[in-house]
Amino acid sequence: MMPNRRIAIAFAPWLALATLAVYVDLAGSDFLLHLAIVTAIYATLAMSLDFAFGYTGLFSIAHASLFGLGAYVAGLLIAELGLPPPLAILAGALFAALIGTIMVALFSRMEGPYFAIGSFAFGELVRIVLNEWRSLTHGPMGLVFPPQAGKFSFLWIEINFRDKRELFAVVAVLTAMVAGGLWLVLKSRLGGRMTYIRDDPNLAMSLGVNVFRTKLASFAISGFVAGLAGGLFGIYLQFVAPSLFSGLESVRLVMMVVIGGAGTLFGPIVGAALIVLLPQALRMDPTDSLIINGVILVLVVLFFPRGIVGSAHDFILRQLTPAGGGTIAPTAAATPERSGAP
Amino acid sequence: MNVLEVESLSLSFGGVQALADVSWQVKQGAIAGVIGPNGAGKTTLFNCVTGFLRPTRGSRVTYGGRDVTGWATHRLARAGLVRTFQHPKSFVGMTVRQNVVASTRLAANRPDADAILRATELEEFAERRAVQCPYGVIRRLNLAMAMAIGPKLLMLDEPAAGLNDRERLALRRSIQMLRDAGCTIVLVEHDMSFVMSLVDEVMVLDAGRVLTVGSPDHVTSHPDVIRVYLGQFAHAQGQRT
Repeated sequence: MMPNRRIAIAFAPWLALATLAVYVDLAGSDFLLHLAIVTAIYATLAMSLDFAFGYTGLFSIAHASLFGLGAYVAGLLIAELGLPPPLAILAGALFAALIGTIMVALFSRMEGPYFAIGSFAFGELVRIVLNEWRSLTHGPMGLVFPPQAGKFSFLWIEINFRDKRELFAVVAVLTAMVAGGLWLVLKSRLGGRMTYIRDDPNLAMSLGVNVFRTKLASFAISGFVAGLAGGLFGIYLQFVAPSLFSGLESVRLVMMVVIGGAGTLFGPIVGAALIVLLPQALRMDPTDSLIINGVILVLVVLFFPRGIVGSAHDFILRQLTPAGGGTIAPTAAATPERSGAP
Repeated sequence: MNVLEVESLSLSFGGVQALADVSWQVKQGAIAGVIGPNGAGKTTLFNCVTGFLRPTRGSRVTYGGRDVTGWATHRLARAGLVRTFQHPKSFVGMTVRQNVVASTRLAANRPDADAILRATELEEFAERRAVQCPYGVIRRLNLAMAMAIGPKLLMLDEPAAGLNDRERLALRRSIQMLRDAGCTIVLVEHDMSFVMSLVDEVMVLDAGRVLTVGSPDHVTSHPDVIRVYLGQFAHAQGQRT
């Protein structure tokens, strides 16, 4: 296939997102801006999960906790040490990367559902610590960000995070940067090794891939992005509480990835948009929205097993490629059963 | 000079002694075979040598003069000790060519993927998705992927299993070509005509122990080998005739 067609397919979702961004900006609606900010943050978070799950096969159900750690560390550093918000967000992201890496090191020998269960337990442990360490985190009451978390000025740059338009601009730029950065990593040597591990870790190691180190690197990047999204979320809400980062929230993230298309990077943006926006569009309460999410998941798994973007990508490729040629990128979900021993 | 030396290699799974005090040497540039009945410990031996399993204390594996006991698989592969698997594997979603290219990208010297496809006679399948290819093609693809890494010692686990006559001949040519290029080959195989016509030396394992080591002629006439292993083939041949 022509390379420019591939590029066109890869960047089509971005064109759609940019159009949406312009539309939202022009509309000037406070509520639409709120939805756009939340969608962009969750899209970033879902992309971070896809990086680990869809590309490395690390089925993490701990990403909501890493998201929460990013938010808490950012909030605490602003409140306790008076760090400027960008530095606090960066530190939160680095801390989430560190904790995520420790988790993968602990569970490095676990694969598939075993890793998922281990990561779920780890995520719950993090949430319980956040909930119970009241002297630091204020427990279930949550942590209210101090007033200085609402603005940032450096040289000629001045950002008011309480202004939704300004915050949306920051979040949109960071989301685009994260997407571009992750895409570049996926095209690098590390990206290749990640997919080899996802497809068959035993085959990969027999060909010289250091599976342990590759998993750590992949999850460090994924955890960093999840923590970054968490920091932004905290800055947006000016508040964090353990209940925002429960295991159920991690499962919702998995749904975003699976619905959008695991192993497609941009698919989770669509998944996040659907999961965040649809209940709002249908004016449903949170409990009913869980039912809608479940219905969407079942429909996608039945009719679009590679997710919405994955299946659309395959369909377009089939239309553009002469019969008999071309390949279809696999997803973690499509990976055949893996044996523990060779 | 020996490229591989195994000394007192032992491993047990619970109460089952999978390998018991196995000692063996493979000469540089040789084609060596490992045979034995099912459960004899052949694949376990491969797994211990290639770092998939850690043998018990006191075991020692020397490769190229270096003690490599306990080395990780990827480290051994980078040092030139490469293996294939009893059940053929491939990277999902990739064509045969892409699988070979993926392997060449992991090699230090980036060999030409097309040359490897030619050497393993896989050109006609190059653009097909590996998972959709016949079993024998995926087996030979595994050999091609291992070749792409630039092995000095290649360990093949049942490379001829499930191959038809034409594919077996292609496999034989590839193995001989590899040996001519200076690579040492160790293969586990049940196809006796394939093994015996190809190897310089054979080790026979039974219940985790070395029964005998020697030339194909020595092994095929060894009474214990006939009793525990080759007898069943002779019996099967007798039934066919």
